[in-house]
Amino acid sequence: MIDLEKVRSRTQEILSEGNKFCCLVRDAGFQKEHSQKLRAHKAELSKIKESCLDDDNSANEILALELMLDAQAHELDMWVALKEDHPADAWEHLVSAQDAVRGAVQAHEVAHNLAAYQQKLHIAEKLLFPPQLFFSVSVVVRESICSICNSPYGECDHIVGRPYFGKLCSRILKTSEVREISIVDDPANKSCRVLEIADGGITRDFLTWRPISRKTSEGEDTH
Amino acid sequence: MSIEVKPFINVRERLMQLGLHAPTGIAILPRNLESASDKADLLHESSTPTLRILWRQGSLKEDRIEGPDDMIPTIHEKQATFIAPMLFISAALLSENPAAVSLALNILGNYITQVFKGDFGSKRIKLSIVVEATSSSSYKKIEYDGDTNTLPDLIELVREVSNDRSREGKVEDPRNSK
Repeated sequence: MIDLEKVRSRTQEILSEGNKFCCLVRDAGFQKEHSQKLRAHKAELSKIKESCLDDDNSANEILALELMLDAQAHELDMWVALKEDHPADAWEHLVSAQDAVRGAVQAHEVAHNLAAYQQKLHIAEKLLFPPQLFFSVSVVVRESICSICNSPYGECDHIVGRPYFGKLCSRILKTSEVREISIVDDPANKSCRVLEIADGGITRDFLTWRPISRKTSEGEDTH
Repeated sequence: MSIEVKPFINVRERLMQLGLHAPTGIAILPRNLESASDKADLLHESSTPTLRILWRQGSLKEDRIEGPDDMIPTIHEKQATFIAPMLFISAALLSENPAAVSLALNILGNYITQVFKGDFGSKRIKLSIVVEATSSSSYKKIEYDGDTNTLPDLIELVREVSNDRSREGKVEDPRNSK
């Protein structure tokens, strides 16, 4: 029998402790150390979750806690990546943190009070990164299956985005074709972005604006 | 935010021309019903199978346009805007079983709320409802494009359009005109 109250309070304790490292000027060593601690605790929760998969509510609550740990670990990794001058990695960690928070809120009401944290991540996005250009892909889907039961999606009763026995339901595309790709302001996937841009004959990294050098077939460096 | 009422093609004739069933109740129409060159071109919104599950769970019977052997693919657009399936509501259903229409639209409304649960930022939706007018046997499309928080009273809007009480063009949320 799982003591869910104990699991919940231990997770909240680790998250509260980690909160003090969630800003730019904290030492990267502490941030890395705490990120590892969060991931280790998440691995423990995953094991606990495996033992209560027959209890939908408990498994979903643990899923929400796992995602909350994930969100903070990604936030810490974002701060470290920024300090180590890896802005593209920092962006990916920010997007992963935002996705994890969204998943946690969808998974269980234990994560109902994350609005302020979501706002913090939103402000970080606007403050730390330049406005981005995103891609949106249109895909025609002829066949898709449910990630929970593998039935053709729509034939079972599972709803995409809802939690079932500790997993969020998603739609796995089996037969599909790309129809078009367009540039949008508000994408579903913020990882799908412009990486490089041509500026007066120079190819630049879209985040840092640094020229990107490439080796030619003759081994010569070029911008 | 905008709510617009536009004229729509004769749904019954168009579906029969494409070799599909003309519904007499509530149904989901493909997004390109007006422009598709043939049945093979038709596309449902990606949210269609989910709404069908929810209607089924709510014991609401959809009068499907597809026969057992027809498969209309879905189109998935990776944008944050949620595009709801295009609904069809017949005049007969609205007069004989308005509770079913309310149930269908309430299920859709709850689904939209769930889609944006945990989202921060824009909660934009686009939805279309094709309504068969009671007296004139004509068809009109209600289009909503805006935030989830300003979603109009869809049931009242559908009634107004079906009874030819709503003019074409931009219209107000019925709640604001009371």
